[in-house]
Amino acid sequence: MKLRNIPHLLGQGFVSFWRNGVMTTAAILVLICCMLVLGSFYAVVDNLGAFIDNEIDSLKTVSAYVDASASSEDVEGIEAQLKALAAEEGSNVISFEHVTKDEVLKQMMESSDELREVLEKYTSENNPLPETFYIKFESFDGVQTLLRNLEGIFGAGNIKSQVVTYESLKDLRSTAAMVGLWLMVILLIVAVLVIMNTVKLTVYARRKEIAIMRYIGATSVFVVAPFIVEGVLIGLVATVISCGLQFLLYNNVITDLINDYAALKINLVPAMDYVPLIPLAFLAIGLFAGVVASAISVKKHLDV
Amino acid sequence: MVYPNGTAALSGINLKIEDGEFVFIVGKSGAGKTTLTKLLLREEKVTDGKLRVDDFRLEKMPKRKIPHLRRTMGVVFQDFRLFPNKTVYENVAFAMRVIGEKSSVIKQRVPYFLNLVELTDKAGSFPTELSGGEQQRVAFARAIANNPKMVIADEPTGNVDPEMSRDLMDLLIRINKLGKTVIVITHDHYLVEQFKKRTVTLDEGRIVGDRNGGVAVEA
Ligand SMILES: Nc1ncnc2c1ncn2[C@@H]1O[C@H](COP(=O)(O)OP(=O)(O)OP(=O)(O)O)[C@@H](O)[C@H]1O
Ligand SMILES: [Mg+2]
Repeated sequence: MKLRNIPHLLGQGFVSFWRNGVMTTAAILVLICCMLVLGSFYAVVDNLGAFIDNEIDSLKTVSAYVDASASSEDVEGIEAQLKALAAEEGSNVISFEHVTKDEVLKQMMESSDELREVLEKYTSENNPLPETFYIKFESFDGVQTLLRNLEGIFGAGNIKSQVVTYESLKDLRSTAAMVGLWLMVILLIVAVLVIMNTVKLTVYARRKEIAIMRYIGATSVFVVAPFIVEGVLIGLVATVISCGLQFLLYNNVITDLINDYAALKINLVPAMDYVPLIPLAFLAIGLFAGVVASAISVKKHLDV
Repeated sequence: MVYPNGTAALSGINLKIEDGEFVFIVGKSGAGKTTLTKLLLREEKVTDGKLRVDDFRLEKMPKRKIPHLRRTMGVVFQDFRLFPNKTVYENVAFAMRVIGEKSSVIKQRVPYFLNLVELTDKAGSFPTELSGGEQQRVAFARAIANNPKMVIADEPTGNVDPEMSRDLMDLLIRINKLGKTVIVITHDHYLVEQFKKRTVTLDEGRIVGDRNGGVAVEA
């Protein structure tokens, strides 16, 4: 194909895009729907992820209790062991905090009125609560070793971690990501199929013309190019509209939904954080669907 | 050559047309004349045997070469094959556009060809607004627009009056004098008699006669 054909082929694509108003509009609408479902789903999953990440940070604390029978020397010994552990290379410990049993009692009484009523009869003389250490750690990766080390210091059964909660949150997150991925694949296929059907009608209406072009020596590129241009235009228009709609949808509908139905107060990811990711993803989907659908639809009519 | 439905449209053909020859192909309706053009254009593929056009070996040529093959020949199809939604001018211009001709050249040459077939005042008409003969002349202009090495005309005089028919034939003769191969398919014996050119007669898919300028040649 010669370069000087390019303006002509682009022009043909534009003309066809306008001429097939109804079909083009239908294809654009389908693409927009697919894009919005995908975009919204991604935003929800991402917000869930951000929320879980936040939660995970607050889960990275182990509570360890000292036996009630321990003397204050024992407690000092434990604190020294902990200090040594924290100082070790690769111990996974960021910091630890020693809360005396009096402070624990005070904290608990301050935390709620009901607890205060229950705990009021205790003083520092008969305080049943244990001396407590809060150990903040770096990551969940090496947490099992840390827990074993801490059990060595405090004794088995005196350690409380959030590993189970962490595991289930992690599962939830990967499930959501997986569902998202499949949804994306399915919607992409649907988009391609529907656009293909649309373009097919256009191609079918012009099959005679395509055949004549072939008879007078047109290359397949020459025949296909205008249809590809048409597909690209469909993809571009759908992308632009979807980006605008997605922005509105996120800032209004999705925000309200999450705030109304989530029991917890979630800080939503700002819409602008999804720029340029979502627009680029939409563009990729639009171009892919438009081009692939057009190319496939024309291909079988080329064989004359 | 056998069509998918089992019709053996051509068989046992052994024909050689030299560069620059002028050949009539005659035969009754259904004799296989159009099928021969379809084979030359690689619209159909030979089911058995060999076929060579220029340097293209059609029986084993890859599909991507088809456009190049077709650009070496200009064909006036029996059913014209004009673009229904393009004007006369656009139909001819488009053929040139397809092979990547410059716009300036197209602008300059289309009017020349339209004048040649006397359709200058129909330039803006669509094929459906034209008579059969006029459509045929558009097809003719399109066939020669790209200066092909070979011109094939399937019943070029079938739809035009004797005078126009005479003019078209003169044009073909002139094109042939320029060194181009011309193949004229017709069942108009009167036409053939007039010109004393090589004439290949087909009947039921076989060559039954090959006369050279009136002299019979064994087939
Ligand atoms: N696409 C096809 N499929 C099956 N058979 C075909 C096809 N085209 C033509 N034929 C058959 O092949 C034979 C030769 O047809 P062809 O069109 O070559 O005849 P022709 O010599 O051009 O006739 P005419 O003078 O009427 O144009 C005929 O018997 C016809 O019925
Ligand atoms: Mg015929």
